[in-house]
Amino acid sequence: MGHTLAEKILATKCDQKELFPGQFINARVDLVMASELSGILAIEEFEKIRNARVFDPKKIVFIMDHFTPAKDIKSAEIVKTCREFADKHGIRFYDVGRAGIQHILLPEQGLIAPGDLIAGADSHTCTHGFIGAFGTGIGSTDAAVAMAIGEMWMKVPESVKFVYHGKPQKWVGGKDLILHTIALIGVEGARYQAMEFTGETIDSMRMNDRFSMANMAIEAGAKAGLFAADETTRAYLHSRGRDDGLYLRSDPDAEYSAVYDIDVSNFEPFVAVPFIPENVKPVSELKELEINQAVIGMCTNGNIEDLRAAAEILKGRKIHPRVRAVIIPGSQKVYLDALREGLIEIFIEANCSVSTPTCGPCLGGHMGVLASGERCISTSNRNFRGRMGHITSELYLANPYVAAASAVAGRIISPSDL
Amino acid sequence: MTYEHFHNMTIGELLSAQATRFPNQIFLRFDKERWSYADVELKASSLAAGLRELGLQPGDRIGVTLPSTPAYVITIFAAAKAGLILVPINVRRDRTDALARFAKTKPQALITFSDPKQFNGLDHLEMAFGLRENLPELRFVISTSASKAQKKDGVISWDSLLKDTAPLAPAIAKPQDAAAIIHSLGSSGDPRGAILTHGGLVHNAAAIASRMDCTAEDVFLGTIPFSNAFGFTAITLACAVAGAQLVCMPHYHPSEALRLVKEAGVTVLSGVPTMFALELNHPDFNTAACATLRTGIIAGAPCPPELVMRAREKMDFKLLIGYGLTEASPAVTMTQLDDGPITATESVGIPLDDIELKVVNAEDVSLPYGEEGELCLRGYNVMTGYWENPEATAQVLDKEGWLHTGDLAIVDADGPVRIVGRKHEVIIRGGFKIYPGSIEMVLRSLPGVKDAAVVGVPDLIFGELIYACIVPDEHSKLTVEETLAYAESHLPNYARPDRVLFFDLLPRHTQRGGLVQKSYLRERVRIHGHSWKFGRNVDTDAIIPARHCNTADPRELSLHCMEDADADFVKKMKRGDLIVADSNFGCGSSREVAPLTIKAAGVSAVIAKSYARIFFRNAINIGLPILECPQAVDGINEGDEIEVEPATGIIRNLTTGTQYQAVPFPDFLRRIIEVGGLLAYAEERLAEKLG
Repeated sequence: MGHTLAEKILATKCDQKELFPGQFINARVDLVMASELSGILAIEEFEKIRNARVFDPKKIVFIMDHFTPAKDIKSAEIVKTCREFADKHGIRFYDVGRAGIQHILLPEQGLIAPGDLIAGADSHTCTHGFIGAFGTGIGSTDAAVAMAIGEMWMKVPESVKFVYHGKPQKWVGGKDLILHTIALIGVEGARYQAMEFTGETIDSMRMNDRFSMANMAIEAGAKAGLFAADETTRAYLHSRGRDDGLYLRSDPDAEYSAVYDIDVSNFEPFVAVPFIPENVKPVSELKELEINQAVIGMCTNGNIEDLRAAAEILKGRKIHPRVRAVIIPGSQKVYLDALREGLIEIFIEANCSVSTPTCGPCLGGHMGVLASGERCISTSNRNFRGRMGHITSELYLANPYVAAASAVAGRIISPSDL
Repeated sequence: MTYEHFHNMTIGELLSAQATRFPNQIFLRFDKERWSYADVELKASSLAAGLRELGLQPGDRIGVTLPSTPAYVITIFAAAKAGLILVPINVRRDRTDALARFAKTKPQALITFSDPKQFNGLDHLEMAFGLRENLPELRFVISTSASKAQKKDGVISWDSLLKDTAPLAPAIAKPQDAAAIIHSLGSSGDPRGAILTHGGLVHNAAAIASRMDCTAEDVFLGTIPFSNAFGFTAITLACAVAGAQLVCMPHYHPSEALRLVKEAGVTVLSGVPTMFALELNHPDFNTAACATLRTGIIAGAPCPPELVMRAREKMDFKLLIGYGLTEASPAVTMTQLDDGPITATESVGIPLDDIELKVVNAEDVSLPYGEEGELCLRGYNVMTGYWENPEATAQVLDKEGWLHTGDLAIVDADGPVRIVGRKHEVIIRGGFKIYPGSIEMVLRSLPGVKDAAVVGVPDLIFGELIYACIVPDEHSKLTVEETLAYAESHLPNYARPDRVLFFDLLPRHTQRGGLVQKSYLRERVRIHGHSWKFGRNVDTDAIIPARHCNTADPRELSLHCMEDADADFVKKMKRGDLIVADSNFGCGSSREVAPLTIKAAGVSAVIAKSYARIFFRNAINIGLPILECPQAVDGINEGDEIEVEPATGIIRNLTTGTQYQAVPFPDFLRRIIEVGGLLAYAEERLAEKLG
């Protein structure tokens, strides 16, 4: 019997010839990652383990991104504790000015390769499936233990396969495909499964679109969201100094819990409406919904291609007088590239604010928190009640074209209607 | 009122002072009878003289086993005036218990009664005679039951000792002298007699009366037996300090307590948590009948916040939480009348004046404020030692005068004290202290039992229930019924297990001699609550700093996330309820924030469709029971009453009568659970790797 990509990757992490869904394994991790938010708890837990030393400082990375630049004394203290811990153990540490949002930063810095097992103390660690790595979110206790012993316990997940056909139309990207997929199967649809994204549409898809899709696999309850690494992946990683890695593919006779065929050729941009990511509607059904804020960037759509998409809309335009727009590049490099390409100028000319890279408002942290009753369109990944601010505020999830067009119109619209 | 003038006084002087100040004020009430302070002073003085006439000398011990009647109160003051040391024994103690307490204290006299009908055939007078066989020093048996006393040779009638014209006995005792020896139980269950001084007891009573702002207008109800330090000091003596009335209640029953509250216009109602639970749950209970209540103390066992809250709401009075121990006369800390709702229900308040507190670690090193450790105290109220037991005294009382309580607490700089557990594993069921070790010994002697552990599980009525966790021999066919029958024939009724559960193994510490992890086991043996289906649009991962708690600290966030996510949900939920995770609960939450959140909300367990999901694996790692059972998730409706045994994976829907079996933990997870969690498991793996 054949095996899925997930099973194959995990088998290499516990020296098994083959693995089957449902098996419990202790897998070696290639990278342990924590932000300040999860790191602070992980440090506390780590220090409870007697005689613990980090298993390999080169395989641990701390990235300060949730409340950075420190929004208050508390967050400053938390970052300080993380820095001291990292210094003490020789762990790679990324702080403001050198950092970015962890999921954008890892591949950008060449810290991960296809076939890696990445244990990240952040639920969106599934993002790294976009290069064919098994990234999965873990808790801080797991992170502490992984830092100490270089292992994490896991149940081998079943896999569910999505086969995408057709060429997406203009304004439609990876974000729309994943929103449609979540709507199709529901937020519980891939509960504890590995989502495997395949098909001709995927084969010709850019890395940033794959990134957005893998990023939101968790919103369908998935353990991982995987793309088989291919030549597009190889070229992407080559430019980041990584020519190694395991380029694995699922066997043709691998078993899946379900296979979905999805034709994307007639898709229009989708928007997830409050208060759950499966509540997805075509943008054309949402006319006349006035907004107060648009947030573009962060992890789901914070790559340079995403900023280019927003700039394409905003160039030569001004955002609606009622609307605030916050642009959040995913990393310092993305920021610098955007600056050099003139995108930042376009944003500022359009009356957008541009933030240093941070998770910021996505989790209601800072840099654009919503007031009561306010409505926001965002390129982030979650729209739960109160996610970006006040409990009565509303959050709509969309791709960067739609978010930028809506900022200009002052209401949710398709870029084609501008 | 500060009552400072009672800070250096004997029990006898207390009564004399009040008889002078309030001669006609009613002190004791029982049925239709009334005794003024002057009456009680006269009777106590004449009884004191009568006792001295028998030949009893100052410093002699006098045993008392009486229900909480006026005779008991008079005896307390009489013994004090005669310079005798009172040794009270609860009327529910049988011969063995009583003998264990008198063996060392060797009383020369015993005041008792006879009422076998009220005590399941136990005749205390007969028992007293039986005790004489083993206690040659016991010269006098005095009975308050006059008619019976006359029929029995050698019994002295209590009434006959009260001589109407007896002169007032001169003050013999000094404040620093021993007034009473009240027994508590050591870690092995052996009774130890704490020597409490006149000055310590009266000062403590004054501090209690002051904290409750008591005056002569108050009416106390004698709910707690006077043989207990709580009843002795916080009811009897505190009432006397205030010059207030004490409504005597020989046999506690919730309906009787409720009746007396209404009829006697009680203003001060105290009790152990079980009493309040029984009163609130009683069909006779109604808020209007409690209109006169002003304050009272709940103490004697861990006080569930929801019970305190309910009592304060339904009885509409300022119930204060007290913390104390027999060895401290007994009160150490109390909440205050003007405390806010959280302090008033979730802490034990601040120390009484003139009592110093500190918290120490296992090495007896003082810890900074805010850290958890063993609570120690020092002050006027600390016993002088255990009677003829220097070893036991040295275990708890150090050279600098610090009394080590055995309770684990957190003391804040200016804030209230929180008791977080017990250093030793005493179970307090319905007010009785039960030592698991003694029950475990009995259970291990049952053929077919390989291992046994006994834990107390929180219960709203009894405070705690006794759960016996049994590992049977491999081929044993032992049943629950057989185990219970065996326990019944080998243990006193109050110490019999309420439930018996069978286990394949018991979680043990890898170090510490492989001791059973009681706290871990306790969380797992049984969970009982109502189910709540968590809305799937709830983001327990949501970080709400701007909106609510304004913090970036995940530990603080966890306290607010859930409420922010769904305030109505949290309002409906009671501490201890279960969550049935119908859907993508806590969507994607990766950190401990979500598990910490539901822990903070007091959720006792989660029934989920997959425990391996990120959210739930975190919960397992931090010790929150998660059961994977899709059928149960589908079969349980919101509000159903659910009982869960995480160890066996059995889920019972008590509302529908349906039982489910959760997916058993794989061997792998069992090992993590067995060693006590993921961190301990990591230590084991590290040791393996190092060779």
